[in-house]
Amino acid sequence: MTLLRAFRAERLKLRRSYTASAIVAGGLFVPAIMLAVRLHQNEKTAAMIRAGNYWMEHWKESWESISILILPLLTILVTTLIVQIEHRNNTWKQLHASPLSLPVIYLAKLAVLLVALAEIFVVISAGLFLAGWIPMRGGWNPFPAAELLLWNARFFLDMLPVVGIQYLLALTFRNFLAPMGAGVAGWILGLVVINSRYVIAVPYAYAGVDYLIRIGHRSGASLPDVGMLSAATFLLSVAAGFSMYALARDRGMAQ
Amino acid sequence: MLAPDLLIRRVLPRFSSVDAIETKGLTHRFSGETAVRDVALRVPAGAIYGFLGPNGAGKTTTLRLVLGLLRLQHGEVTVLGRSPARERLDILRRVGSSIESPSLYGDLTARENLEVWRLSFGCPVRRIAEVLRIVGLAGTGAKRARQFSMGMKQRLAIAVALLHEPELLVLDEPTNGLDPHGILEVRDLLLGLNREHGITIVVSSHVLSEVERLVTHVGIISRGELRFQGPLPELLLRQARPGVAIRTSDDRRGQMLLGCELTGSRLLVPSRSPAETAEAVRRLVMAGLDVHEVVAESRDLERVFLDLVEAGS
Repeated sequence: MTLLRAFRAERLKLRRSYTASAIVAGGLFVPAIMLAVRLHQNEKTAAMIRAGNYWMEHWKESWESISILILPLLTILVTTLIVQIEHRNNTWKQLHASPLSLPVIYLAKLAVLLVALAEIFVVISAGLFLAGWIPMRGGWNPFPAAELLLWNARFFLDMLPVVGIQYLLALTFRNFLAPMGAGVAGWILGLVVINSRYVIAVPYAYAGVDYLIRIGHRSGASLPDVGMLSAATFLLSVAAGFSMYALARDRGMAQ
Repeated sequence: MLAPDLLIRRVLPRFSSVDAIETKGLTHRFSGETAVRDVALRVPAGAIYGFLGPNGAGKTTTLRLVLGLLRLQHGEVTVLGRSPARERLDILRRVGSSIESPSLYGDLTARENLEVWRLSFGCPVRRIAEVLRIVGLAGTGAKRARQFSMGMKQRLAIAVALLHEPELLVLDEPTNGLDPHGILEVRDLLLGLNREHGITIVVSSHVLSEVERLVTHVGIISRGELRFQGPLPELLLRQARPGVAIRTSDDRRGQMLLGCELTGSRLLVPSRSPAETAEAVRRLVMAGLDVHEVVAESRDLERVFLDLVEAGS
């Protein structure tokens, strides 16, 4: 009950913040480009529809830039923005002077971050649906909802470590640029090593490498299961983040 | 105005013998530098306690330690009879606070800010309208907190602290940035809360004159050490004490000779008659000291405060 109330309070703090704008703008970026591509390449679009596997092909094509570029960057940005609300408003001390235990505060914020990640997926999926549906012009392929839901769920799992690590970084640094910069540096490193076996050390690239394996552009033989790796890294980062948070000497969070 | 000793007899009996806040041997260091040293705070239940000291004296550090916002390094803290180390959440349910600058979400309205804290404290929705009325912010509508004047922000911070009907209110510099009218408003508000609702209030400030008409008890801290603590009338008694201020060629030696206070470059010599003053001067001169100046000491409350702050510096 207390956790639910804390969660509602955390969600209320996002009102009129840049978070919603970032989710909508970032989430619709690739779908908008894909819509333009489908309309421009109408011959190819018609051929895809005739082939009968239009939606899956549309999804796979769109997710190349989403999994490698947009999703990690947007997750880094949104997670950092949400946690920075307390630093920016100097409200950590007030939050810690309220009768909420540290696990409740930590978990309520984590729940808000996960809901924001889910919202990113909803916006991307809705955008991709429209970007695929608008150019169909009378032709129709059945929409494989269950299959695409599983596809999304897998990438959601791949993004969890990014949420966990960015949460830890954003709690640690008061300055917005520090966690943001560290996240972008991690993402760039991920791009560099995405085709090597060392990619397992860079969680920012998990969604990208998972995508490449799924479409057959990269072998996953030398790697452990990316989904399992993501889940383990997420749990580890959340545990590390909470330890660091709970052991902070200054509950005004003045770093 | 009543004489200070009469004030002591009339005012003090209404306070409980139980302390709302008690600290023992409170010492805290930041990077090897001592911020507070051996502070023994005693805030009687029912009091309005003025915690005074210049900027950087250790007021905020002490209050943060009391509220558990800083990890205790040395000493003991008891709040409302309980230990924050063991019963922190129970204490925080009964304490309202505002530490340093007002903690508000700038993108939210006054009502939304209060809703955030209402959810955290789990108090009824009606409290939002009640505290907004108490602090005079009921008409702020859709205006965001970042657009508020400093006075409005301070009042909203007090509303947040009052939301869950606390028994103890800890306000760190609540009159910071307020104009004289705003200071009067906050003073009247706090007096009303103390008298009508029996709330114990700790209010810190670096300006004595801002709180002297508000507080019943005073603690004066300087360089991390508590210089004075007690009922305001006791401080007034110091003011009333007659004496002279003497400047000499060797104040340290003069202090040893007369066994009096030394503040800055002045010996404060208790003296009830011209004969006592003459005797003090005679002893200094006989000891070979030059006496440069002898002035009648008429310390106002601000002077008493400054002397306490400067003592030992």
